[in-house]
Amino acid sequence: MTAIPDTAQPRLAAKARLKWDEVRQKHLLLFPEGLLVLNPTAQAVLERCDGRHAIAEITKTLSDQYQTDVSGDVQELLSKLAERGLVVLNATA
Amino acid sequence: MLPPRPYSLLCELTYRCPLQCPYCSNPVDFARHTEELRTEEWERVLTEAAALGVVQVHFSGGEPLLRPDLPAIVTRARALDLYSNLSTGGTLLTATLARALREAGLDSLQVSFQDADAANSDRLAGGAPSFAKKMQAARFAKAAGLSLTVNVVLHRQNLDRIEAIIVLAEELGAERLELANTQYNGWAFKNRASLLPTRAQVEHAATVAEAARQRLRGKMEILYVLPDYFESFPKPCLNGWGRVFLTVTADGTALPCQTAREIRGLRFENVRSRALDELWFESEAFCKFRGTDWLPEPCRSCDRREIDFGGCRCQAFLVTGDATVTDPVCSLSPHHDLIERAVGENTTADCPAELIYRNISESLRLGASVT
Repeated sequence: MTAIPDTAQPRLAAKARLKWDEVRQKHLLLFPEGLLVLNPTAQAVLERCDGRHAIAEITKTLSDQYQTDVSGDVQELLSKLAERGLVVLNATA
Repeated sequence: MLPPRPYSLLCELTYRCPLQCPYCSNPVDFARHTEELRTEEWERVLTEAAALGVVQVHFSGGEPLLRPDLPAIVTRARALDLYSNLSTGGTLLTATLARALREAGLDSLQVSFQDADAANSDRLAGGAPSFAKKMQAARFAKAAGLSLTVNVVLHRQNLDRIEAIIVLAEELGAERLELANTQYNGWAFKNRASLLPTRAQVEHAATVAEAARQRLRGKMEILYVLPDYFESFPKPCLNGWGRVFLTVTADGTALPCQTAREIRGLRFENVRSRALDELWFESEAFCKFRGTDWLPEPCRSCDRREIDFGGCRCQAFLVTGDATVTDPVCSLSPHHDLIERAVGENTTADCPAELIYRNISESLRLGASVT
């Protein structure tokens, strides 16, 4: 797994959709032929993946909010999803 | 405790199809089930499915593009916030229809190819030439902004072109490539002697697919499903019977699995006569093999019982004549010799190439012989 630069501005791929599952009371990420059930941190990261926020910014916001360093979690989640083509990274120069 | 709720619904909108693939997943006797659900019945099924917990819906057939109401049905799925996938043979897709489906809210489109070689693809699909139209359909889907999956069912008569198949999907800009080895149920079981690959073919393809998966990581997702005849343990079919998946057929029959209809002795009910949640939670067909309480030996005392749930019920029935026994592809099954014999007879890629095509006359002929 390769580390993603902190300056990259991730966005959800067009084929991926976030959904609040009312029946199960869970956040989901839906994509062709599959889905992931998201924990609250993953959900918080992905709803900020709009192509405008840099990873560093997302990490800082959530670390402040949870009062713990979430940078490892953010890196792991985004690199896994980028590998599957579910998150697109707009690297800025 | 209530059983888990389904995540995924397969809607087989019609059994009609211009193609005649000899491994079609429709039941062999499909031609006897001609009364298709109407638009408003499909809309009701989708509404009930969403309330039951379904979040993904797959529209397939037959050829789902034969339904002129497809955009209306997709619109309803989108209004219910369902993620929608369409599996098509592609021959009927136009640029206009692709855009209409995208505007209706379709998320993803899957085009089947029978081979990367045009002549062989046409031969395997039967009927009128289809390869060129499939190529066009894939381009229409991309141009309309749909996520594109290329699906190729693999077997002895196309496995040796695995490299070309991967190149084809890359050139079409597919985001996903499903390399699905034939599952020997239904039509494929009838054609097993002509389709079952050699072990060398399967192993070569696995190596090529894995290398491509590494090379294309982040660009095109590649799924290579190993054929279970060549494995030691069965697949966790459907991730467990009546646990995640649900199928509603063209004529409204609710099935735990799209090929379950061929299991004789199981009673399947119709969405026309009962609500979907009742069918899921209460009907005999869904309860019969749900969970692990029903498991026979050697599954019952096996530590893999929560991994594969005894394997595929359809395969158990087709190979042994008894749907309640361990999937015979399992090396621990007392019937495993039936699988070993089929694989053992199959040492050369030079085939009997004759195929029974999936069409109405064959369906009526073969369907009559099973009743």
